[in-house]
Amino acid sequence: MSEKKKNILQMGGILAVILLVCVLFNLKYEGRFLSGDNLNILISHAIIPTFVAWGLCFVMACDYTDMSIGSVLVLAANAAGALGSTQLGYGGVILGGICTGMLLMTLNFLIFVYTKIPSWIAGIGMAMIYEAAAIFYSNYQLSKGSTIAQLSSEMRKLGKPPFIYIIFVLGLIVAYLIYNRTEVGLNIRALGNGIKLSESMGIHTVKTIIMVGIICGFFVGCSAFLNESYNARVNAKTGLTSLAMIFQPMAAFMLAQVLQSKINIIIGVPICSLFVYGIFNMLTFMGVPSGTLQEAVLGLIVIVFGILAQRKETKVVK
Amino acid sequence: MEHILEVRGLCKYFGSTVANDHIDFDLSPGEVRGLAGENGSGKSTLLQQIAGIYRKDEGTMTLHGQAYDPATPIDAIRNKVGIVVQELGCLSNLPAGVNVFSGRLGQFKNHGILDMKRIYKEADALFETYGLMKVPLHKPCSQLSIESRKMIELARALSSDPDILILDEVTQSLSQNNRDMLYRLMEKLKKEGKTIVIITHDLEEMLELCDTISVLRDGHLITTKPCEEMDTDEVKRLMVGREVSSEYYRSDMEANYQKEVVLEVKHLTVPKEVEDVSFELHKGEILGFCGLSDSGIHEVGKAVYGISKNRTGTVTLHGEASVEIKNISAATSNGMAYVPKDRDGEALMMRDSIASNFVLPSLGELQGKGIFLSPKKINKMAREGAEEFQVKCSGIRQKMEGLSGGNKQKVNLGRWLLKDLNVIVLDCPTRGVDVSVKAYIYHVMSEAKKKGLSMILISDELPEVLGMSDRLLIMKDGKVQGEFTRGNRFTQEALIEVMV
Repeated sequence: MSEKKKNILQMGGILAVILLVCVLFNLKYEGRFLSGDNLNILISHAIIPTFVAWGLCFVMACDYTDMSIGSVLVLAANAAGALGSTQLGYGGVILGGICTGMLLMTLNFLIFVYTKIPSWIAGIGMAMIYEAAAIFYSNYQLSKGSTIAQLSSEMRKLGKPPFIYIIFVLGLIVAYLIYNRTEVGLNIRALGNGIKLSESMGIHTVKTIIMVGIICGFFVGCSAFLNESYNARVNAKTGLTSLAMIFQPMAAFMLAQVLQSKINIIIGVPICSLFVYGIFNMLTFMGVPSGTLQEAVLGLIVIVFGILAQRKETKVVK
Repeated sequence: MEHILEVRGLCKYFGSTVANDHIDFDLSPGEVRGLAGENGSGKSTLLQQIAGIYRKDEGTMTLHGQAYDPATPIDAIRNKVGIVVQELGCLSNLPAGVNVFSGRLGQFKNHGILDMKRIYKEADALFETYGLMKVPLHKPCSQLSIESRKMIELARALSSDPDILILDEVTQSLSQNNRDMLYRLMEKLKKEGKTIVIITHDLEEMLELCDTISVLRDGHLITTKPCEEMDTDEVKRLMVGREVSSEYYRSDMEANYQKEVVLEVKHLTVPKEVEDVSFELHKGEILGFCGLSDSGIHEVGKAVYGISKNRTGTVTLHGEASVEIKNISAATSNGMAYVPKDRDGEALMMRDSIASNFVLPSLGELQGKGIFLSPKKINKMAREGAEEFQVKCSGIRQKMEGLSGGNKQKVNLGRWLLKDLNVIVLDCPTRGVDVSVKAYIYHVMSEAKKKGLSMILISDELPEVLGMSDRLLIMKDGKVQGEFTRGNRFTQEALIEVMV
């Protein structure tokens, strides 16, 4: 049997098992799990972190780790909310999220590339700074007797069907093309082999690393304005709690990495994101409390998928 | 004849080390130039400056009569200078076809999007044009053998239709059939008036292929002479600066080992790689394995040592009691060792010190108080090892990545030979090392053989396996195709007949 056929059969088998579990679960909970409303919530919930996971695909491909993505997301969501409340309208929502995301992530990567500090350390430092900025903003708003940026209900259409689906499809196309079909996408992936080797291949490494920030910032920004549109507001975080905001996208990314040999990682990310959220949704149905046990399950998922992703890492030289 | 490249007073410094010291170097069109020198003599540095990997610190270069100072390898490629480097290689997570054009993918853009079909088509055409061994172009390089990756690097260098092609220790990664292919290719390029510069530690090969040879020693260009005026002894003398024994290999022409079987391999099979291989290894025997590319010789080494997870068959070590070797742990704890082909990737901790690398297989013997290792014992073992195996270094705390290929291999091999071993599997032990280190490794092997150590010697170099083995197994398509015992029919011709 050809490798391709084998892959299709394996993927088919996995999907069939997942579907069967969903159907049985649906039967147990009297058809509420696969109801239109629940599926709508499930998919919308999965789309928002999918954008962050796409951003992570680029960051991880070049062997960097940015722990400040969650705090960037908070600031970008607030910028989207603030600009969305001005005359700019939906343009402000989109531009506020994307521009802030791109600006901050570019700043991060400029720091990584020029200071040579390991990215995960510099990322934690930046997360502290961004969290503090969000708190300053929040306190400033409070001192004025206002709250943090909040979108009015008529400005929240981007977070609802059909717009959220349209944005998702556009995001998928853009992410797929950049990752697989552009020079910068392939150069970013080349960076994963080390700076020295990439340079010897004629790749402008500094420019490429900064491009990672810009691209990741774009996707984080998209996730931010969708988040703001869906939830109306995104609260400021303190004490590095913003780090937890990337755990769900991270779990989706890692699972997609496991499946990479069978399905392109950019396509795999939303599928895996849906899978992760499906588990959360099931846990909610089962009455597992959110915030405690559900978070523990998330931690477990991240570890299990991380292990699986490592297992696929074969560097055997014949 | 007018020179295509003229280098004058070229200097390159790495900190206080002078890698190239005022080098004058000319190349003519249609010339095949060999570059000889010990590890660390500055050969690769010189060529990497010409190919834009390093920037020169002093001196001038002129290409086709124009000032030439490539800032990047892409600059060099634009000026039709291509290189296949010794160590760096391919971007392992990208498809082979993309690797051929990496750094120059812009030419395949169509409204900002890459035309992937065209990339693969042009890469395929390149392989076809130059008659290179076919490689699955859609597969990531990480899934390809070293040999296939070298083919990708070669295709990459040829993709600019270079006027100067630099081959830095390429042949040592190739099996006999692909070496022959490369020789044919070099002949074709020479006829087309292209210039080729080749570095190889196989001096006979260099003398056969080249028109002229330049010899470097300690960063200086000692001489450039036509090949007709030189022989291997003369090249070695110029390289080292003194007379070097021309006798590399064993001088005895009879197999010489004890009757006692120390290792018994029965029906060893690794799906798609090795098929039903059985053999016995005797005390004090050097058992050679050779074959063409993808013949399975390297996989046999891995399987015997227990690295291959999905192997079947049995590997039994006979000593005071017989032990079945099912995994690496069983192998190491019963006096087996393995020196892999990919030294930097699979054997050594490149970012760690010589001391750490030396003591790694012997940690059990270096216990101090309680659960702690004894720094005294560690330093003693590392210092004695570095001394015994003549590792040229600034001290045992020096990082491995700063050592030359030959010295890395001395650490790699030496750390095992310090132990009391029964069997050692050596996969291409002299890959990428110069003549003097090569001679030293063969000497160390001969000494170990005399002490009763049994060795499995896997090699892509026929003279090496012929020169050192007592018995030879020839493999093809994962199976043992023939067996030779040291004696009258122990010739390259007889071997090649079975290999192909």
